[in-house]
Amino acid sequence: MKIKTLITAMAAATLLSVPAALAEWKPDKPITVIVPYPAGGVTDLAVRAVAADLEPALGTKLVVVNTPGANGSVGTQAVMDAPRDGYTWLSGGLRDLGTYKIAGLLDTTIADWHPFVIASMSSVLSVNPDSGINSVQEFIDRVKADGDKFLVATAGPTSSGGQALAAIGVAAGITPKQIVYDGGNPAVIATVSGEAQATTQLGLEQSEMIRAGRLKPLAAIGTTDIVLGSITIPSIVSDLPNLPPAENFVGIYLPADVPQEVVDTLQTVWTQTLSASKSLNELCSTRGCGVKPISGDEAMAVGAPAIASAAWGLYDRGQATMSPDELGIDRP
Amino acid sequence: MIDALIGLLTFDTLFNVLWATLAGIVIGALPGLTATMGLALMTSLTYSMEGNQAILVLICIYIGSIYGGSRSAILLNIPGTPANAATGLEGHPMALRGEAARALGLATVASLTGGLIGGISLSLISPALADLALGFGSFEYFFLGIMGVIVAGRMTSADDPLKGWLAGFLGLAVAMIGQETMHAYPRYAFGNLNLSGGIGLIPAMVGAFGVSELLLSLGTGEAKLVKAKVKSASLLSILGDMIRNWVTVVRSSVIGIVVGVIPGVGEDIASWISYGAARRLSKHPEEFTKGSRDGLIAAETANSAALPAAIIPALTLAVPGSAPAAVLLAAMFIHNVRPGPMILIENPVFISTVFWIIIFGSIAMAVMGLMLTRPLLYVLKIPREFLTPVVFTLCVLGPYALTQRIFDIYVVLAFGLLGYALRMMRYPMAPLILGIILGGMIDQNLRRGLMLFARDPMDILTRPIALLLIMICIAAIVIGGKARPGKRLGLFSGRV
Amino acid sequence: MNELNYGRRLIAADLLAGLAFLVIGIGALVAALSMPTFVDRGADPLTAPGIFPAFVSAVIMLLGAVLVLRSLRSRATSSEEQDAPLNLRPVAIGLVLMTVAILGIGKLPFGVVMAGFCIAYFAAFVTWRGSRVEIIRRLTAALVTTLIAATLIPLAFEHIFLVRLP
Repeated sequence: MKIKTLITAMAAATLLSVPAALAEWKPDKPITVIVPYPAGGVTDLAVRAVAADLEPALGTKLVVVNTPGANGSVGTQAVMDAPRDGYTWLSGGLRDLGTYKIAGLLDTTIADWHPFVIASMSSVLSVNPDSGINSVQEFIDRVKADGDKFLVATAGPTSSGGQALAAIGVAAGITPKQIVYDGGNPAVIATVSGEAQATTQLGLEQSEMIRAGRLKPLAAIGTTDIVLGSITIPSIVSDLPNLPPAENFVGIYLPADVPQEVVDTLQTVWTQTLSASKSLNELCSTRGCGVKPISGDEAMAVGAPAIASAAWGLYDRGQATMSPDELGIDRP
Repeated sequence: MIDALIGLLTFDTLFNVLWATLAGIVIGALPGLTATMGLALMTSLTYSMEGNQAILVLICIYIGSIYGGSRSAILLNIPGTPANAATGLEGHPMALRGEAARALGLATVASLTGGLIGGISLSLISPALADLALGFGSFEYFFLGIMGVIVAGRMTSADDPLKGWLAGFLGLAVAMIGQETMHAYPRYAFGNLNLSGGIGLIPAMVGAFGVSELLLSLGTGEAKLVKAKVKSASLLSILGDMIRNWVTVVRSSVIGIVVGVIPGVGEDIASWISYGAARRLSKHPEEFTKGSRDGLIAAETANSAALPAAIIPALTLAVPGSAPAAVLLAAMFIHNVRPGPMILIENPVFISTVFWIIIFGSIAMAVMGLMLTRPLLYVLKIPREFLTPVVFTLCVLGPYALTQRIFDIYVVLAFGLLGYALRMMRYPMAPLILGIILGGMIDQNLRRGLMLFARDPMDILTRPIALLLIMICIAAIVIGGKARPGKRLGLFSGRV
Repeated sequence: MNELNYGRRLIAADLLAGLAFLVIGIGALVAALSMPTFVDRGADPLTAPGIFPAFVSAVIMLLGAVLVLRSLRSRATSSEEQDAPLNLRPVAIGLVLMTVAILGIGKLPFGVVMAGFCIAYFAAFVTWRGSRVEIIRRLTAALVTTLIAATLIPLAFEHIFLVRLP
């Protein structure tokens, strides 16, 4: 009972802070958040971390449903097919949502959605400690020397790890051999066990192995350093200044044609609720992601370079069914 | 250890253990509602609880649902979760003979034993087991999958091996439908997005076992599920069965723990491999698929022993040992427990806490399971025509609840029809389901293994687990051919 | 156990099923062999998507061929009478009802679909002959079942499992 009172009080407090001009959306049934990836993955973790804090702000339950398949496109299609009443939300990577059409998976672009970014996710270049590699330069030299004998574990060419590896390849002029696993965690474990020599999966997936010394981090694949508790992983740009954008953003997405008051309401509570979310801050500060509670045009602006880089990467590798030019995405 | 126990001894704990285990049993018993679904749902509902209590609720749901799946497998021949498909193979024939009470009781005691042994292994040797999990690379997964295929053949050798193999390979082919992860290439999808998402295991299983069972029962026109009089079975005689089959209990526990620890391979494969081993090593292989107590014990001990073991890599490597353990892992992060290699140093009490939760949950499961045996037997007395619409509704809604895709309901119907046709022609359903479970695993690891083999062909000689698995596979094929030559059917034996 | 007691009908079914498996196997094999290898994208040819599907479909093709040959060579060991009577009419009715219900899901409210299924099902499969008392008993049972299947179960899924009904 006490909890209920508390929730009501918190909800009331949140409602009071809403400007009176906005039409108020008061959901009267649970909201379904579709995670188009398996349970326990990065998107799943981030969404579940914030769902608990969004519930009192919206005054309803958020039910997280995992609908995995076809690189997230099955779950995305499910949201596109659902009624546009604001009760079915999508989640996932901003970059992935922005490149479905170019990859020929789904007929949707980022313009069809209202993005609500939760956090930025960066990859980390790590090696197995037994490999004897200590720096990014040594990694590059080893790839050149060993050729196909040197294996880098990722969760697939279109995954965060695959995109990050492609970015390193472009910036350093190397073509590392990729070995693909069924997800980020298996790729990390394969590197720890020595089946692969290095990995470029997300910091979030590697953090515990890095802290335990089972993986040696060489650099954060992005423009900023990554902090994992007491460990700071330096950015790779000092070694590779020409690195294309390799960051991804995890967020929640509402179809563009949901009622305006749903978007307004969520926008009003978004930044405040997520900034104050203890579980999200805990997740990001200890496991290497950046809290980024932004929405609307701001989120679009932040995501555009990541989408452009990923889209042209697909096109250059021959994985695109159309040129990004046709969608008005300029080459970065 | 004791600190963790004292920390848990509260009224809240008792209350939560009881309701969560019961909820788990119900979720498990409903066809299509699985442990994964139960955990994912409860993660949302336990946000506001205190950390340890939330994790207790989730683990109890997990324990309850893997056990609960055996109820519908035995009574209706519809396994509640994929981990109980082998249970149904032996448990339902027992029920048809009027031994439903014994089958239900035996599954309960076997689950309790497996759960306790698995829990103790978690508390005593989890660091060593975590290293075992790290020893599983692409070669090992591939040969484990091959072992599963051999088990599929084993499950059918008593009847018509050709049809068993056809069903198994059909299952492997079904698993090939959809986008593969290496190149994101949609295989056999014909441009259809639903197909490129793949055929889900749960809807396929519910269709092949559940809907086809309903259709078959319409064909037989029997008024009741079980014609035989339902005999009662005392707890003492059930314990006697367990003691007589103690070798199976020990073997199945070890298989359950080892398979459970391997990341991504959970209770379902554990129960199949244990069942296959029991059948191969049994003194009475002719009883199998006709209601063998040995086989029932093997399946239920192994899946319950695999459950705590699947939590071990989640705790010590932050890599889940099964799909439900993946949800459990996410829940631990939400409640500020940080599983991983550091947990043994940073938070050793938590492992003891999980150990006690598993012990509590297993005991609660057994007590409630035994209490529910009598009421559940009434299901057998309901006339079929009134049971069918209810089971059909559950078969439709259960798989839908997991992913909320209407396509999955169509899959249920399609596999119901396929299952009916195949079963009328005397094809077994179990290898079909095992094929769907194994297909993706064998495919991915075969291709990675080939790549690694081409890189360094000698490397495999330095991998003891891979060599052991290869030897087991070879032994299973060679010895299998010699052990019962008289009972093996030639594929071309003129008079079939 | 060693001798399969196969009637003529099952042998004929085996022949058809064997042919079906043969065709499925060949089709799947052709499709697998025509899958791209992604070598042009720098992928290892040993990771081509078609490798394992090609193997699986080849095995299905072979097993299907064996089944065809076996059914052509075998003679019936049990006469038609010994086979369980093939009672396809109720199965066909049940299948049609299930198909109609499943196709209706998503177009009509779930409870309505299930209630319709239950009513049609009871009309088709419960004997409505006998004494008045018996009919009333069956009617009550049918009503209770419809209530459970069309109302209670969907409500439970909606409110306890928080599932958005189709």
